[in-house]
Amino acid sequence: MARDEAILDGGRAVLRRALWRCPSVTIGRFQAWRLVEFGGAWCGPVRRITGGGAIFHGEDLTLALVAPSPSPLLPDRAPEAIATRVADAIGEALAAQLPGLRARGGTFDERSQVDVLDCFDRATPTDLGVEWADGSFEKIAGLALHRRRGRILVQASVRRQDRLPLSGDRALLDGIARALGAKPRMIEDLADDEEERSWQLMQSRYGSARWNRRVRE
Amino acid sequence: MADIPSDRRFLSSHEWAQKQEDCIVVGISAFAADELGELVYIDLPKIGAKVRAGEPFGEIESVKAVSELNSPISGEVVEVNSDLESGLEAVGESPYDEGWMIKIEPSDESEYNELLDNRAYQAQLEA
Repeated sequence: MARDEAILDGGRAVLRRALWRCPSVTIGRFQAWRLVEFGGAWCGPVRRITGGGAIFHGEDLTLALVAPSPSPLLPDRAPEAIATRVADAIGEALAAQLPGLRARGGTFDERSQVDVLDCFDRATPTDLGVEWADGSFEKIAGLALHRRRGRILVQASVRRQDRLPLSGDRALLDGIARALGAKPRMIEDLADDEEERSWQLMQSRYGSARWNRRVRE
Repeated sequence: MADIPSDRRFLSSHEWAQKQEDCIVVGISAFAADELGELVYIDLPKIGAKVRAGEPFGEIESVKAVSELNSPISGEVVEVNSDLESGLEAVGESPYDEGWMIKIEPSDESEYNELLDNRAYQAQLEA
């Protein structure tokens, strides 16, 4: 989370994959702390700067896209248009790996889902789901955004599962970049100034109970 | 031009400021409210908080997107629109009136004159 925000505060357009040292939980910027009563061996929870619901990380593919908005990469400023563009790109990349896969958004409006704790129990039009051959719908990717000084951070979680035998994270990342057209830079490591900013943010924000437990108690 | 009141000044990030007798009222423009879409949460500062021109004073969430709200002017927050906590739709339905967010006692009134007037803001929207 700190690394994504450090990139947001920099000047690069970046697509990156986040790796987790242990299974972790992140919660949305405005989610109530009292709802977060997770058992088990989860690290966190850590509050994101992006919106949306709680995400259980570890088995998922966690992505972050950072870019100016508007820009060739994200031509629209409206959050709904940005989320739709990124969800469509993920859907296109998945479909390229799994011919016949039918990806679509959910049908519930945003406001009706705000008290649903788990991101993957929500299904709004800007979410990404799969319609299986039996007609059932399953959400497979959730997105959350933050806008700051003309730049956008999109954090996305793609759920891995047996019915989605993906050929690899790198292939999916390449597919998403291709689908976005204007190719963002794909990075594994941060620049020195981003690493330093990330460290500051870990101290001041993401490692702080004041941030993680804040608001709507 | 009819949609953009001439008695306000604007930041390029779409927040407006309106001079009143002893304070500056702050909100977001109709364009910004429309672009954000369905609003679900807002976080505004407490009375007495210090804000700085061009820096965030709060955040608003819509369509799982959190957007920072930037202060058009520096000073101290003297009033907060607490009605928005239970009636956030006012930001979209009445962005220039019931949807106001905070009132600021300015520390440097000259900052107001550096903001975009309604014509310059309109030109930015059309660019």
